[in-house]
Amino acid sequence: MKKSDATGVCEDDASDPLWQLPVEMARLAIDTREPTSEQVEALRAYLDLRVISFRESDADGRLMPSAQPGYLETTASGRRVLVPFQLGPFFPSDEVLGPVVQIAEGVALDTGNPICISGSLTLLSAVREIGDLDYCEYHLARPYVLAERITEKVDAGAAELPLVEVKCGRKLHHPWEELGDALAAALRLEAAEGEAPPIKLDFVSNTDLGLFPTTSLVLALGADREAGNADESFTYQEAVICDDHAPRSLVRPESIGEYLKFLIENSRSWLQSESGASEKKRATKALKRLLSAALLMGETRLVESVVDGLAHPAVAEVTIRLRVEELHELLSYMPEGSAAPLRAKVDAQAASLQFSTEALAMAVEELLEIGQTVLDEVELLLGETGDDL
Amino acid sequence: MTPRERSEIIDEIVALAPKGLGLPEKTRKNLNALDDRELVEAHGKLKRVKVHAAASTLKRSDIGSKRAELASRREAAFARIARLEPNAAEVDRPAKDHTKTAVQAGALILPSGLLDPPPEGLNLKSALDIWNTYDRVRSSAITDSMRAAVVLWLEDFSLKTFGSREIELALVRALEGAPTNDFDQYFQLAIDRAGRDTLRILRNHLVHGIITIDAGAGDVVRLLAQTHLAEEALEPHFIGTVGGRIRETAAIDGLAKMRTFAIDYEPDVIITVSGGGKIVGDFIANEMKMPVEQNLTLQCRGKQTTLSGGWRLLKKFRRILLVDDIAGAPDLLCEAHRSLAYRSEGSEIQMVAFASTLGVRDQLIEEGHSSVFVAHAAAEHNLEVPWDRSGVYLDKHSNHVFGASGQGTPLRVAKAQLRRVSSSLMESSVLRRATAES
Repeated sequence: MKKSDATGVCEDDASDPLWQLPVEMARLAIDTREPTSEQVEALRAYLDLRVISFRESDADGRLMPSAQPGYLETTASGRRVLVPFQLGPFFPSDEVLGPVVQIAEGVALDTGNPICISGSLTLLSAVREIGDLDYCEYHLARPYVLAERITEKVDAGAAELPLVEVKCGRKLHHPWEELGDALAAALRLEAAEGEAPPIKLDFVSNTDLGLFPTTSLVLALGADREAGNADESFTYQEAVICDDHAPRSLVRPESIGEYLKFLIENSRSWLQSESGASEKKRATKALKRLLSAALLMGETRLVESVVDGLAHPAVAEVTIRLRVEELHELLSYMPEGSAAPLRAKVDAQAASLQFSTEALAMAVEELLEIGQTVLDEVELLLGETGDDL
Repeated sequence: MTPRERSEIIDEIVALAPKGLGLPEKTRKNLNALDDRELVEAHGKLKRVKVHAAASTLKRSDIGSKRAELASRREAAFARIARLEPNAAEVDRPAKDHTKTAVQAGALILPSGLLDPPPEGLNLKSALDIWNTYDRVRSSAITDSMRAAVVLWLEDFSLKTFGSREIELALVRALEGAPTNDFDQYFQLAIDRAGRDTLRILRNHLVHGIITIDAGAGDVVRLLAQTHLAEEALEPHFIGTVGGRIRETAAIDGLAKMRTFAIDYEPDVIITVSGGGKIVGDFIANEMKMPVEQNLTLQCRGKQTTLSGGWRLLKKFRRILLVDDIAGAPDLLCEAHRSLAYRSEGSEIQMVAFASTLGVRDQLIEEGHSSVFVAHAAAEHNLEVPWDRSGVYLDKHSNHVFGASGQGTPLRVAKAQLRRVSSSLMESSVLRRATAES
């Protein structure tokens, strides 16, 4: 079998001939070692090469190299969107991205803040259905102003994007009696930049895209954009909507390594039956994590397998069921007058369900097996990679 | 920089691009768009990464067999999940507007209870209108209205699983190649592909029956009943072709049928008629995990036939499967069969071909070769497979590639798709055998 001159590995075994780079970064994170400057430089060169390969890899062929290393960029609804290179092949098409960006602007507390498209949304072309719309907003100024913005969102009561729940230490809902006190405690007037806990905002978006639970995680960042709340999120899973520089960098071995480590550990926990997780979502969650891991490792053959799994109707069914459950819960917190018309739409989504409980359980079992084989292969690729393991 | 230098640098970078997802091709295209300075810069980065990778202590020992084992487990899970039926949902849901869906789809799709009291919400008048349209235009050229006269009775599942657009596209794709000179053949084809095969290819679900609601359509229904309602899934599939080229969807179905036939037969050797037949022979051998010594080639030149590896090899085999892609001339297959029978006394021989004209198939059967299976029987004489016959078969990670490395375009078939089609055939085959045995 032909050997790759760069790697010494059988070419047929490696989807990415430069597999050492992402694996090395994962090993750094797993072994909690600091990267060397040489490793940082190598990562930067690797990212630049991958940007060339992934340019126009999206369905519309619109993703172009960005000035920021590792990112591709496009525009939607008049905003610039920076996309980590490996998300390109499954990134939403223009048709969807426009509304997604508009919703992002609706959930943003400060339109000057960078806000990221996250979660399944970034892999929309690989899945038939998504359970929710996930965003992450980076707040780069003093946090107290957020209290005022959150109150404005609550008061606005936008029909297309009602804010239903605020989590800041505790969960708050309509009629929002304790919102002011909770926000004042969490977002102290004297707090400096980055000195605020993460705040989670749950909306229901009712737009052309459909009715979706919509979440925005608001992270206050300080001068060091990779410290503090930055740990709550991963740069490699976020497409950043911003008109200036992305707030965080992809040229950090820790970023790629920590994310890979998270993806593997998280998918493992979803796949383990003793995880206690809701049975039906275990396979879907694990497969999505494994898709992200395989993409980041350049393991395109595994990517194809996971995409085949995610394309199964049972995955869409599970996703719709979870979405329906979540929407029902969110609507239960809303004033009945606002919730009633949305409830009819939720019922319409439930009407598309078709699997019996038994059939779904059987499908999930097989999807778990598929996920387990992918995870085993990912671990094989990472685990048999050094004498020190 | 000279064009040659550019080309060498580009080749070097492309060689280290991720494989799959079309990325090597994209990398090449994107590199070609760079100016000399940018290309040199990219080359410098490649060198840096290569030096880093080469110095890495990370090594991958021989993990190929473990990966293959995991891939095999995964394939098995995919095969099992493809056979799962979703069944009826246990949630209450509002009645579906079947008529609306049907009109959008370009086909009238009736729910199962039509002959009993019609389900609430079904607009029978629309159904009658379509049939009347059919009657009016039956003697003229085929129109969209006539396309809409295809009446399929689908499981409710299909209606919900496929959007109306998907069904419409499936139908249009199926019907585009239909011959127009024979109306019966048109309907035969339409139902064949649109009603059964296309949908089965899409999601492993079959049409369960065909219903008429208007006396004027009686002869159509008779035709349908004669040709399809009694048909076993593994019967040859009569195809209408344009210019003799078999369409890709039909090809996938035919390949699945050949595979199913072969697995059912359980041969201990596969002997392929040389030429284009090697591609389907290698495909079947690969699917059956036959070792190389059980995958032989037969050269037929006039009356002279030779077997790769020599005739003596035949002695150890008792169940022989003779494979060809297009059985264009009965003499060739008959001669091949005769040669094999002569040299393998006591062995059982069955023949399977991807396609043949009806005449060839009938002649083979008339000559006593009852053990011949033809996946596609067609009226055309100039049959063409939808891949390059000068190429080879390749087993790629997610695809079967037919006619790779040839001069023309290969046919790529997603393994998952072939699995879906095959799984329904396997069930049907097993069922048929069980019925016969009982």
